[in-house]
Amino acid sequence: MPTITLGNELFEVDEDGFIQDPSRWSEAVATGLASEEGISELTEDHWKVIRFLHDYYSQFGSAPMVRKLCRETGFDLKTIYRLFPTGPAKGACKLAGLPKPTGCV
Amino acid sequence: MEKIKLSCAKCGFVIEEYTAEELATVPRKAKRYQYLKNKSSICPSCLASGRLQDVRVNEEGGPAVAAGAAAPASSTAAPVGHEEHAESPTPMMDAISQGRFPSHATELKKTKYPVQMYEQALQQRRTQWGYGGYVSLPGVASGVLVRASARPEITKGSNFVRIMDPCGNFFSTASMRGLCDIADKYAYGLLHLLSTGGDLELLGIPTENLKPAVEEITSLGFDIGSTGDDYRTSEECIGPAKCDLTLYDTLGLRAAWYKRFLDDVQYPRFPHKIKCKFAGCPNDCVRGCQKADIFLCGVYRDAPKVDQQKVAKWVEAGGDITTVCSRCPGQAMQWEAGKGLRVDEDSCMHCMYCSNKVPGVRPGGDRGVAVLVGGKLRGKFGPMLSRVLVPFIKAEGPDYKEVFDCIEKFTEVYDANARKKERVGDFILRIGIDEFYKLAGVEPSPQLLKQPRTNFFCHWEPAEVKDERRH
Repeated sequence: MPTITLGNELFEVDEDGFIQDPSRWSEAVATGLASEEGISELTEDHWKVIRFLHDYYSQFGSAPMVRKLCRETGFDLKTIYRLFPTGPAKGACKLAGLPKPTGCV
Repeated sequence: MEKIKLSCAKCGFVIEEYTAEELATVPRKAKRYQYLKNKSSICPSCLASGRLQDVRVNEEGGPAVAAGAAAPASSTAAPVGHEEHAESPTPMMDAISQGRFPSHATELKKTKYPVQMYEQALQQRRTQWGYGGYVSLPGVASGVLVRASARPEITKGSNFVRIMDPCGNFFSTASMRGLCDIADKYAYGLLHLLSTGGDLELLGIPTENLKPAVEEITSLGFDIGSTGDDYRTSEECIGPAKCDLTLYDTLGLRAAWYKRFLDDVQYPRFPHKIKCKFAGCPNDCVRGCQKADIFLCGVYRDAPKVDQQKVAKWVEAGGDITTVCSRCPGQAMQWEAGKGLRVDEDSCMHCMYCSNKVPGVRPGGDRGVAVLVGGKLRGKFGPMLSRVLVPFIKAEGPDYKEVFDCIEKFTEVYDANARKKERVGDFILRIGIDEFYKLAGVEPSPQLLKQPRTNFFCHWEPAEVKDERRH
């Protein structure tokens, strides 16, 4: 299993770089993974999406559907792709510490 | 290296193949292996049913690989899809190439397509390509796909981009030359010209070339998209560009469609894909009723226009008008030799039969669009025909606001209520047609029946029924 060092902690990640244990997620993880996804700086808009995804996951145990993400955060899908160039499933979920979404997203 | 093959116990056809290392390390493959091993399957080759046989081969390659396939250098880390195979023998493809008709085998051999993949597929009677999926390219939400290879020693796999076609599938030779240059420069040099979804695909782009290829395609004025859970590339009939029966401007409507819904074509957000087709008249040359989740069909409400002189001339020349009248499904046509052809407006079902057969009968003047939803060929519950959502809307350009507002309202209902990966037809079947019409806010009308003008069951809400025997 590959690993990644963020801050002073060692995390186990899968082949696409998603951290394996969502309960160990912290804001430092998101900041550390951001450069990997081509995001130079995390703005307040980024944090809004990331916090929503993480709260939703800790509450329901699954990633929300794209429609719900758009409605709750108030951003349309185009804006989310501008914020996270690799998309809501791959980019935003990785930064929020969620496991890799299944299916063709 | 030990290879484990699950094969048919009767004829030895190999269904799946694993290495011992894969089964130990990859849980997904181990699960699949256990699943296939424990269940009774039907062999695609000899159609015998039963448990699969577990064959262990302790060498590289095994008997399934023919001698000709060993020619390409296997592990030279070549980029995806650009290997040379010209020297390998291709007896099966040569056999296909013979004859007078132009052959796909001849065309494939002229390009950089890995012909051994096809040759081996013909020899082993099963495709050598693996699973497919979407490629995540930064900044590009949809339009780039990958097809993995089950034979990594021949090719590592193939990326391809899906280019949205212009309205009516009209390409100028100049823009086609531009696309050909891109295909030669980055891809196999092979155009998949109009896939079954109606879009153009460039096959075999190496992963590192994807970004420059997409940039060049967009600089030509084309756009990529139409993969994932979004509106797929819509298809329309040729309409007013070539046909005289069309009842609205299909090409103009599709251009307006892209102006309004381009974001939904390129950014996947729906529960599942939505395929749209636009037919100019009820003849439905684009097969939208069978295949499209949203189908706009041109319809007219009044009686067909009859040019009596033309009809009389056609009858004089030997036209069989009595047969046409007897085959009219609504029995609306009457022919009398002296008086000409009479069409009863109330009985006419607007099926286009008379317009197709008789030159003098053309569709009427009160024209519009019917919106039908829920047709599909696959999905959970199999093939379905589409149901009428709105029987008639005036289709008025240039922005077709009324039609598109109706569609937007429908997609909102679908988006809010459907489960993940559920096609429109499955969704309607699951919640029931009454509930669906209630959610969509459609007023009940006779045209919404699955088979109008036939004997049907009335079904009522429990609150509406007053059963007198109970009081």
